[in-house]
Amino acid sequence: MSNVNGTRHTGVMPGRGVNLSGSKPKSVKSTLRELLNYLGKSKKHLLIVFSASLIGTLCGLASTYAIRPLLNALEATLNQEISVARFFNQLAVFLSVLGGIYLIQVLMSWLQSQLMVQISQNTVHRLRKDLYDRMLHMPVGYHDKRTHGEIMSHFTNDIDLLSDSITNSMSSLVSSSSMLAGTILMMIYLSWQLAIITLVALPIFTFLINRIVSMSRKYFRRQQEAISKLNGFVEETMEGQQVNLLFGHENDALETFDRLNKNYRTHAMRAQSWSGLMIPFMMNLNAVNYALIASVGGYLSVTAGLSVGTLGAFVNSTRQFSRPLNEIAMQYTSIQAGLAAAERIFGVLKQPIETDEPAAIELKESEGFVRFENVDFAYDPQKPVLHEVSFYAKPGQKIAIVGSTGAGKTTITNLISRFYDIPNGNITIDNHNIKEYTRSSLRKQMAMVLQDTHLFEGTILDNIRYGKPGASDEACIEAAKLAYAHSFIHRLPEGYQTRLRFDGSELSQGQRQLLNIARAVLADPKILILDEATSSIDTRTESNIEKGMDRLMEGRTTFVIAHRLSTVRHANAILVLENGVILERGDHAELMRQNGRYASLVRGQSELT
Amino acid sequence: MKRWFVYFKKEVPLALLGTFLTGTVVLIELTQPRLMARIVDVAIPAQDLGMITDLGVRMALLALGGAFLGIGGVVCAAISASGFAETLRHVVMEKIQRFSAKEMDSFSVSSLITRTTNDINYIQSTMLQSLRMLVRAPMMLVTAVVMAYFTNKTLSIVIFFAVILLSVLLYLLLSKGYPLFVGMQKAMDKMNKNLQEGLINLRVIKSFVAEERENDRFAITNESLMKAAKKANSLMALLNPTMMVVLQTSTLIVMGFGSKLILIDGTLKLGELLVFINYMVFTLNSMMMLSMTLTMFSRSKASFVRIAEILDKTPEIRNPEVTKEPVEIRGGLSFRNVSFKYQSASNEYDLENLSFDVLPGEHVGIIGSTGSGKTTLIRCLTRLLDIDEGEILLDGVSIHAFDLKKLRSSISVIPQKNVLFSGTIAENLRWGNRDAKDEALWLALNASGIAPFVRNSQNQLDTVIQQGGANFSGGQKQRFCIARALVKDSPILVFDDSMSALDSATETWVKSQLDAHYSHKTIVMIAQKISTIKDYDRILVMDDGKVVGYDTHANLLENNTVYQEIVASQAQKEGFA
Repeated sequence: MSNVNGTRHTGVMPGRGVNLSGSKPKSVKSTLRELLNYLGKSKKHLLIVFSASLIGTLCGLASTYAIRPLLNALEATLNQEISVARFFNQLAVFLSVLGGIYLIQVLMSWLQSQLMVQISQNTVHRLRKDLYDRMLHMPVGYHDKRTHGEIMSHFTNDIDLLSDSITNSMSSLVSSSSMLAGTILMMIYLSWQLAIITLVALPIFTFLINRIVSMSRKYFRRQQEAISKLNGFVEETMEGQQVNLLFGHENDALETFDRLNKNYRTHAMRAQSWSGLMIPFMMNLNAVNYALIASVGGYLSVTAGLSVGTLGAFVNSTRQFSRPLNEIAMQYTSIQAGLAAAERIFGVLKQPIETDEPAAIELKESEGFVRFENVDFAYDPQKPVLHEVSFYAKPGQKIAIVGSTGAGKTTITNLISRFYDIPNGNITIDNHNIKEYTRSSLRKQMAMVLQDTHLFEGTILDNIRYGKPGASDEACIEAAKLAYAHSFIHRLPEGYQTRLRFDGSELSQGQRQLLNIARAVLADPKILILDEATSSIDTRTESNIEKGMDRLMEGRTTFVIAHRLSTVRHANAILVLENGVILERGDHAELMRQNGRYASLVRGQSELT
Repeated sequence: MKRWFVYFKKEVPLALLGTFLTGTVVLIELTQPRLMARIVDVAIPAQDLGMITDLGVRMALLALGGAFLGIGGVVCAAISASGFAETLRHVVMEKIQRFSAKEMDSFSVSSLITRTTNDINYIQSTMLQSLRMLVRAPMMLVTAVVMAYFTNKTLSIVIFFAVILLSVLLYLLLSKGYPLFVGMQKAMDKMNKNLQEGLINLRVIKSFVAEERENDRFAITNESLMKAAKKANSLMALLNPTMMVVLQTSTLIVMGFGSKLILIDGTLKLGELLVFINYMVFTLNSMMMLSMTLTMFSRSKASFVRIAEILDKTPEIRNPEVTKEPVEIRGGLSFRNVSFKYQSASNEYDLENLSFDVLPGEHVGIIGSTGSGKTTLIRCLTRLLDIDEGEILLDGVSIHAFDLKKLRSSISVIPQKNVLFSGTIAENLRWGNRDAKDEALWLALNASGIAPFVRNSQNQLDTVIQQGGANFSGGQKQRFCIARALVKDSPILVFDDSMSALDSATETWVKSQLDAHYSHKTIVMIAQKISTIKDYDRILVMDDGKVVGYDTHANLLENNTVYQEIVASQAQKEGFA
């Protein structure tokens, strides 16, 4: 559960269960050290919080203890040992002292909770900022290996767990342990005989709490497994709902669902029961303890002259005894989950980012001369993707790369833009190894139009301007005209000011592609990469975009990666890539004459997969 | 409220038992201080050791009993809350299963997933909490107040005022807090969206060296989330101090006032004062508990509303009450002035006045640009959508008179999107035909050109398909989808652009297999490439929701402009003539 709940109240919500769904951190010490480092500036505040919590607890103990003199005085007055008038004088003093203690306690509680909100929100804010920054600067390889959901969960689940455990658990752990210690000390001070009973009960309590916690942990794990199975099935069934209807498979699907649903229910029930029984169990066990204290105390008061005030104070302490224990048990697991989350977050923050070579220079105005020399590359060392690939593109040339899925076409774009670095071989631009340039200046010389057309929330104009921040409106419109996007933009209700929703979902695939092209036109790069830019558009629509594409390619070194052969026919050179090696190279006419793989592809005699 | 009770009915006995148990525990807890008071006020002054022992034993027994009853209450609550959620999940799933394509789109698949999982889970934990707290808290509140009242009537005025004061304060805090939390949730959604956009566009951002710009953009959403969270949480952090102030002030008053009652009026005993303070703590604590539970409950409203939206939807596609079907389905289709639009308010039709016939056993191709309505047409034919005007006939009978299952079992579709389910290859192939023999599966695999691949796999037909078919390439998935449709063995076969991921060699193979083994069936083939369908009996040309031509390839080539354009756009590129 997230910190949306606001505060959690110590002892106010005895009904809440123990949440044990979190995992354990691997290294508590180092994560804790890192977390403290991270709290940095807030450390002073944290110290204040801990002190406030400690003072508040002491006040709480003091107020419990303070009842004793009052009760004793009352008893004495009743026995006519002191006069009523004197008692009321004492009462006035007593009430003001107690009032003072209460006031401090409230102030401390207020200070502590307000500060904690600041600390945790500031920390979480900084963590999100640093995480996002890290994400943007990490190599593409990190992202390619993970799902978006996985990365998003650092920002949502992990951050929530952490802030939860900072806000609630840390200070509550301090107050609970000091409360426990203080209560025990006071008990011993009040009556060591009675304290023995409690001290005998303590290990029994701890043992039982431990048992319950470990049992519920076990059942929570099973619940987790059951729910991920159920969720997986729900996802699949929703995605395939239409297929199920078409194949008359609805009832079978519902049957399976019911089975998984029942299974989850059983585990949820067990997990909830186990975690939920902690509180009634502990409360009532404590009540047994309470009963023992009451009767033994009564016995002592009759036989050994234990004062009623002491007994009252002791009994009150007993009432408080199980609460910090419960609290500690609950916070312990929450802190564990928080630390495990912190460990995952710091793990991401420790990931290496893209850096430039120490002596890297700016690539100011490239000529657009690109060369690959004996380039080897593999994403996974077991599976080489490119092997000894060599080719070059002179300024302004159009190079097409053709091949099956997985043949390594897209890898070539990944390498030119240094999304990935190569272990062997050389990639040069203008006769310098691309590693000699700063990444930013290198990338500024190129623009990409990719198969998946993604846009940003904002106006059409903003989206075009993404290619060149600071470009004038006129320049953007000019670019749109060049890309043949002007006519459709013009027809939109608010023209260039039309706001696109998330990912521009209201535009058709073709329209989004045109905007991407306009963006690239505006960026005015020396090197252009078209990676399957038109593959999901039908041929008729494609012929409409074609003019925009031709205009875009004029005067730039262009790499066209294509699945469909139609787009590559006019290239200066066509490279046929299979299994990481260049199989054939030449222009269309030459390759047709060679009558090899390319020719057979064109004639539809063999396949690209 | 009433509508949800239907799903809760099954759980009522246990829920009631749980409530009863929890209530009893409250009574026990509240009796303990009274027994304690008897020890202090009666037994100790009387120096009666027997009575002390007796009361002590009673307290201990009550406590032990309370522990067991309490556990019983928790277990009952867990059983009934999870049972309620199970029922809810079942009815939601059952309903969604019957949604039309339009209804699925109107909710969106991802939202339906969230509703069935997250929302119901939230409801489940709210139910659990409520079953425990909504009984316990009010019961405790009432009993504690009553007991306090009987302990001392005069002093209970203090409790009375404390309760009113705390109620007002809690009300103010929570009603001010609710919109703040809504605001925080919105800020959170914005941040998530921003984040998602950054992830999707990572390559674009990097290629335009826009990392710093993105950081700045994120800083804004991040900052506003922090502000909203601080606002909401600071307000809620006032709850504890507020409660303390009320409790402490009342304690001070009770002590002062109580002393007077003991010494001057003589209407209160010493032990009773202690008991009274205990009851006051119980009262105010239970108010806090109650308010927390109510907030949680009110927050679950959003989830309830989202679930209700699903349950309230009456699926538009319904089985006819009286069915009428031809004795034998031969596979002839007639579209008569068929019109359809996704948005009923829209002026533009997505399918407009379609009329054409497909004879039994005829092979018909459909071609047209993206968005011309080809897939919509198939959805209408299989009643994943219902047409607005006109009539579709299968062998002369309106498809709306068919039993839905019967209709869909007569038409075998290979959908555009290659959806496979986790399980084995055999299970997936039998999706529409549970009892198909292994030989039938192999026949279909062979026809779809993937039999050699399966035969070479270690587990053959039992090879596992992962969720979403993630362990196969697009081409392989498409071939499995074709095989699945062939196993279903219906008189009508529909390919919805289902050769797109196949290379021309495989496509040729599949087509030759169709000719050899399935040519007696009616075949409707939607295609992108002219080459796929040019030898078909007739080709339906669609443009912008309308039929603009229906003839043989040769005739269309001669006199259909749209067809000519399509041919031209492909000829120039693929070297096709």
